[in-house]
Amino acid sequence: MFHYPFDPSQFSETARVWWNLFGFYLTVAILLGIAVYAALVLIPFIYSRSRKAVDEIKPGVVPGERGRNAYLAVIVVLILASFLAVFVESYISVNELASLIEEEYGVTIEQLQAGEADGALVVEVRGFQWGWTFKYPNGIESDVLYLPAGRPVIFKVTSDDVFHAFSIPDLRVKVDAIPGQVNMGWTVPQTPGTYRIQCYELCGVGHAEMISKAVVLPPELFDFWYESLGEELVVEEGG
Amino acid sequence: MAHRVLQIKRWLFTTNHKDVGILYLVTALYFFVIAGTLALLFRIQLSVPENDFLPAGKFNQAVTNHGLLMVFWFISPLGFAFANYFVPIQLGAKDMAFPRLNALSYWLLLFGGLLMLAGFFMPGGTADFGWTAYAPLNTETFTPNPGANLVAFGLLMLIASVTVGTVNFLVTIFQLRAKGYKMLGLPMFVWGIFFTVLMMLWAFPSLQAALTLLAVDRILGANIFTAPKGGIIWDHLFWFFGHPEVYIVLFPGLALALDLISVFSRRPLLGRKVIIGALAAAAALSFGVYAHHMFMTGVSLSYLKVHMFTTELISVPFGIITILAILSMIGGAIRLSTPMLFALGSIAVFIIGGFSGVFNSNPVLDIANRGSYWVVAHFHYVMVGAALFALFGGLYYWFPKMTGRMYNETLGKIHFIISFIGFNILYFPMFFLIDMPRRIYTYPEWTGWGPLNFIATVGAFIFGLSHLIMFANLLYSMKHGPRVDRNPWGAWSYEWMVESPPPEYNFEGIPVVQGNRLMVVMANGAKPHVELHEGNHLSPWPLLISLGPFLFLLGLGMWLGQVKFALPLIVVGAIISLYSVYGWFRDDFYERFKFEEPPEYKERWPFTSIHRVKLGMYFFLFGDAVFFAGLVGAYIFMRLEAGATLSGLVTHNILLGLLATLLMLWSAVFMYIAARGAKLGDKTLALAGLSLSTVLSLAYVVVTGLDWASVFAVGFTLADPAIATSATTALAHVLHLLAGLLVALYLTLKIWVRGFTGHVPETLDALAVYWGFLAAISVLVFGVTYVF
Repeated sequence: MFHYPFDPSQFSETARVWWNLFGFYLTVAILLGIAVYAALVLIPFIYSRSRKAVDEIKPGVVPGERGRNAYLAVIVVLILASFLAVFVESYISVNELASLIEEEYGVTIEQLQAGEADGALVVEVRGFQWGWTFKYPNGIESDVLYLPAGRPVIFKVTSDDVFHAFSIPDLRVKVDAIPGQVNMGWTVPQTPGTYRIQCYELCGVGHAEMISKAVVLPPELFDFWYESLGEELVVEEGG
Repeated sequence: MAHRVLQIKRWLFTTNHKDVGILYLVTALYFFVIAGTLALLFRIQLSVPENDFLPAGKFNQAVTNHGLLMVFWFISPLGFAFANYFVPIQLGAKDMAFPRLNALSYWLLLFGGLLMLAGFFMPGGTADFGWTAYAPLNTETFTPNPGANLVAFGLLMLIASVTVGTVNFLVTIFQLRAKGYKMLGLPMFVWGIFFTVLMMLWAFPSLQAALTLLAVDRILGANIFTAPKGGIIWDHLFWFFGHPEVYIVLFPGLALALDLISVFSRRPLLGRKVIIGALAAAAALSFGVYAHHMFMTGVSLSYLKVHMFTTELISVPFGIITILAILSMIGGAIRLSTPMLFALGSIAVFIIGGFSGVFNSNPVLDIANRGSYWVVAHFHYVMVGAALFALFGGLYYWFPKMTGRMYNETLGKIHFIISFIGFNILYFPMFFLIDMPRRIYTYPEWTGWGPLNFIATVGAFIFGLSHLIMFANLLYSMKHGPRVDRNPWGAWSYEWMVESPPPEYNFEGIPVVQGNRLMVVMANGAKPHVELHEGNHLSPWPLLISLGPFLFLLGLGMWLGQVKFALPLIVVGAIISLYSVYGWFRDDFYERFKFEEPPEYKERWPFTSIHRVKLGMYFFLFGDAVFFAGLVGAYIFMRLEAGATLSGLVTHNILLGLLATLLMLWSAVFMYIAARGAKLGDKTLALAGLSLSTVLSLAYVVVTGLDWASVFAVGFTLADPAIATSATTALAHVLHLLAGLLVALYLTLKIWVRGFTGHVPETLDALAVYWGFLAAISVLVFGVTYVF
């Protein structure tokens, strides 16, 4: 399975935003890259054969200043302009990511940061050496992450011991799991299926085995799982 | 000089910058071979899915030490090998400003590296937490390997080496230029080194603070990084150092590539001043971008946006440098010799490395990049590609100068082509592994990462083995290559105006610059000046003063790991340390080691009237301030963020603290009076000031000790992170003071017995500055850790 150039945009909302932005960066990089590489290859090729070339380096003489100011200014301004274009686009995208969940799903940034929102599923993610535990609002604890499609999910991520990084790469979710601190992440899964969860921060000898799976279910199926299992647990706790 | 090549004494006791440069070069290449072998080992492990060539623990150790050795003991020292050898010559100087400190830098570096390597032989193995050593994984709780202590010690020795070297280079560049040599006329390589050491001066103390806290955690059983959120303080301290470090590694190579492009295309650089300005801008910005390593740690969004802006902004100066370098070649009579090919190769991979870096500046894109092989590909393109190719180009470029013989051009070109292709086969596939996490020792087959990893491993072997061509070429040519004259490349800078290899004092006369002409003039003053130094260019103390701590720390690490024969090592190390410090001072007392060029032959703008010792002290304190800022910052962080609720008002006796601070302030006042006395030539005043200052600062140490004893007597322990961080700050301050007292004692004795000979007034002047700094720090420590 060849993962790249890999378009994950149908899997989740965050993946869609990521892909749009990545495509933009990649386009800019390729366009500028072609121009720069063309110059880098052609100039030495041409002038190592040119007969009219000049030799201006004299032993024991500090080379003079070269280049008209206007010429240099144009280069600087061009580079600054491309920087500004990229910056504006990426600034918009960071804000877009924040406003997306607010406009489409009614979850504000404050609610997101507080980790409580109506209409969103809040999952507490705990990393430990070496595995993950996922805790749902009704008390279910699971080592497989079940998620509903089409509904915002907020991850409250923390760690029991050392730094981990909780990630579902295909859904473009990644949050550092830090002991003593709860970090928020969110996404809206769109396509039912099974996805890889993996730790992205070196956390000891078991780092490579810290793999789990996220199962995105159609909403009805998720509700069925959530309610049936949840009741069982509540009964257990009550008894 | 050739008959002296095999003299053991020459290489062990040398302080000549060229010999030290050669030592740096050989050492850097030695660590390159070791770290490269580690890389090949873990590339074999990763070549196919579910491989079991290296188990997880061994794999992590290999990865960690590969990173640390390559960054700290190979690429940086390789740049500084050339800096040591060529910066003084390019400036028109006869040696560094402080030749003995230069040798000291080298020996600290070597022994620090050997300490690192010793970690492998400890029971339980060495550090395995990655080169970033994230807390709390790096603490004793999660990494009990005793070898990890040795790694921390090795890094601390490296930081000592870097600090000494930094100060030395800054003073050399500022005060030892040939008369009339303007800063703007210096070769780009000197400019690159200049900005590199400036960044080092500020970056490394932050790592030093982090490692000091880590040592307190690991050895004294404190609880700083295992406290809730304690790891975040490591993140801040590490990346405040870690991001500038990327440019520290890059700058010597990048600047060298600019020089090579100019020389081999026979054209002055386009917009030299713009390029220098861009280097300055990048160096300054490098300290404001580090939070892009922490996009996912939950730091506030506005902070992230600022760092997103600065991180993208830093691509502008590098873009300007790259484009101007390429456009500079237009119209020149370009010669594609091996050094030029390497310089162009360096620019070529730097472009990919730079573009991929812009992707990392964005928090949204970071969702995919963070901790993935994309990042691995990116920083290898920058640090290995751009830096290593340019520096190897420099090795070929300067080889005829260092040996007097030419290497084989065909083999050089073959080396370039194979290594360039191998490099790209190795790292380019990693961009496609954007969803593979870093530092996993294996991966399941269903991930589909196998084929790309296999390609990368093939590339790794091509790239790694291609350097054997270079080693063979250079080793053979060193003896059998055709002889060359002074200037085989037709280059312009000073090193090409002297013989190959250069004589011991570089110039047979006095280097002078008139307008834009570099000259060496014969003057009567020149010859005796040279003869003055025959015979006392050797000093055993730089070697011994590094060997002592090496043995001591090795013994300490072994003792912590409960290995036999640790105590004898500790004792021997301590004895050698004390004796070598005594020896260094004794040499100074009798003024046996002299090296100074007459200042009137030198261009010293903008520090025309400051003595080099005092200037060096100023630079050192600029860096040291960052160290204390790191420690005090850690305390503030603990109080504000990590839930350490006990204020210093509760734990400390405020009046004792106030008394101690006042003692320290008065001590500084008397040290200043002593310095004034020395300047006026008043022996009584100087001695009175020195002894009063000594007594008062000893009283400061006693009062501070009493205060802390009372804190611990009440039952507070280092388990409280606020206590641990403030105690570390106080300890660091007292150790600074004790080191200063040693110098004060030496000065008292020397003034008492011999009066104001040698550099006594200047040294005392510098010491007064140091005391003023320590007094300021004590006020800061009192204000923050007692009152807050």
